[in-house]
Amino acid sequence: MGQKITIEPITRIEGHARVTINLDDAGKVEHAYFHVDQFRGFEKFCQGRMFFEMPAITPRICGICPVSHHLASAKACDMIAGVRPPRPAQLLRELMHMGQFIQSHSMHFFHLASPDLILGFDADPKIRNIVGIIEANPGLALKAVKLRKYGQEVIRTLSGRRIHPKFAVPGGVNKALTAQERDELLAPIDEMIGYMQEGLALAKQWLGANQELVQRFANFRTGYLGMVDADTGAVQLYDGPIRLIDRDGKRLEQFDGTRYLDYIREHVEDWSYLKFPYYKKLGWPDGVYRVAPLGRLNVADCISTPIANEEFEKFKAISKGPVEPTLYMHYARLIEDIYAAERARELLEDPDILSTEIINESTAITGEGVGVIEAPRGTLWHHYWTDENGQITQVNLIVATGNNNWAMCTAVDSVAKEFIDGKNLTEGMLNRVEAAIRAYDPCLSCSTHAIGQMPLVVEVRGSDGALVNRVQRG
Amino acid sequence: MIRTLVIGFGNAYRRDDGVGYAVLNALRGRLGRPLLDADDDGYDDLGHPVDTLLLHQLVPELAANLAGYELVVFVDAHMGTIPEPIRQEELTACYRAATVSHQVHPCTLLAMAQELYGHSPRGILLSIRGHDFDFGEGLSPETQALVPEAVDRLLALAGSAG
Repeated sequence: MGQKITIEPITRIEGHARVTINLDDAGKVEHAYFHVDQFRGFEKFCQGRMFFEMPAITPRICGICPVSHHLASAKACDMIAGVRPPRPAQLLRELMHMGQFIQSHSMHFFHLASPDLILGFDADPKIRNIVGIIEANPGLALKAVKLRKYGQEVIRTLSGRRIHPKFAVPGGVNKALTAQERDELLAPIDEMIGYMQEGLALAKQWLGANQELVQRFANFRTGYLGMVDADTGAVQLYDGPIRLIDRDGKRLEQFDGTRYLDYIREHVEDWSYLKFPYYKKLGWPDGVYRVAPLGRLNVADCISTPIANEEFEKFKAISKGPVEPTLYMHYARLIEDIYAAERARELLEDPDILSTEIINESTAITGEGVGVIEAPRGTLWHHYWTDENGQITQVNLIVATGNNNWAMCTAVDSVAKEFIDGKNLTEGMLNRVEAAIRAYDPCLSCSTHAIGQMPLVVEVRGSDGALVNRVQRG
Repeated sequence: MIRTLVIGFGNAYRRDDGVGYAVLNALRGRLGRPLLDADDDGYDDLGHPVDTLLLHQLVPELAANLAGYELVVFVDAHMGTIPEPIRQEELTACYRAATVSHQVHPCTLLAMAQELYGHSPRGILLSIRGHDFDFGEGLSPETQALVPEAVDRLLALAGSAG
């Protein structure tokens, strides 16, 4: 009798994820699916709004990366207004973006990834969490909180708000940085970089000591996609062309991100609301790619800041081609974390950062705009169409989590087949499947989070739908 | 006087998920304080006997704020799986799973406050039944009707704390 296991963190459908694992009669995994809902509801919600409202509305998509949506939206609005922000405004926007990266990447590694690495995949879930980390290593946990707080402080200083910024506007930003604010943000950066280096050392040590697992765990081939500097090929997070490489590391394309529709198409499966973007010229599924830290580091030639670049070179030396194993996402994420802090320092030390020439006015309405940016969890596109008055008529979003949809599905399937024994289901097996998803840091918080959602549930069902086994926690 | 923090959290663009925002502002109105707009977290208006914060979701650095209070009330929406229109739940300081998200559960925040800062306040979750979680602004009439009672409960809690 075949069986089905469902990992369903919550019962609501909007923006949430569920894992279904089908077993054969012998209890072996036949196939595992990762289902996510999508943001189409939000796209509809935006229709009829004035375009200049969008940078304030779209951060509401997400409580985790509001800045990424805010800035992608502002870039799309720049294009609609037919105006390029002055250099100081570009620097200030990028600085806010670095704050977002620092808070998000630090939160992910120290709060979500480190319990598995420090305490073990099979540790008791009662201790395999951030509270367990605090008990095991209180100093590390406090540093993690400080890192996240610092990133949030960058955002708050620039926008006056910790969440839902109203800072970037079409043509620039609406607030200059003062010398005192700059100095206050500069002062802790070395300390923050030190904390990140501690995290990176921990990740590298764990990866080195667990190579057999790393190579077995969701290790598969894809293309990679990410933003680079047009001149140097360095990792870029705020502005630059999009580079796409194939499974062997060969460059396929380097294109203006606003022309994404010429290169990217979305595939639909009937078992998931979230579409599967892929490279048009290679078709589906040969054109699938990965984004986020692994994608960005695999496509880039270097990193423009010294400490992160030194680590980048070590990372690149791991493989002659792209670095493929999913668990290396943690390594890449911490290198980016360091880059974000070093880049924040560069931006803060740029004399133009204190300029009050922060906006270029425009009354033009071009009718269409595309904003592309590297969000912490991957490449993010906002594409708006307006009427002649600037009222939004259509919205298309390709969100970072969507770009990694195929990879997350493949990771779940791979880990389930490698580690799940349907006849002797354990919490540790379930946790490995979750860890495969966690490594990609998907953002599902576009949704509500009302109390009453079901805890994490694994159900084993027979082919007739009868409940055979059930594991629940939370 | 025992200090109280009320944290309303949720997404005001997902209708009843934003009930925390509505309750928080109704409370502020009853306390004679200016209302917060949906994007104002309220951090600049702390220091009262009853403080209020408005958040999209709970984040770990909140643990430092919690440690400075004796009572913290979290106000959120709940779904139909919980039968009461308004549920008041005493929280314990312990880890509660958030699966694959960056969100932090109120119990986890209390535990972090205890472990990192040496003090965990009394924690209460006051949740209000939501009926409509679709994209859009404004509460459903059914959830809107529960706001005054939720504010009464908050004032009673703050009063008993004081």
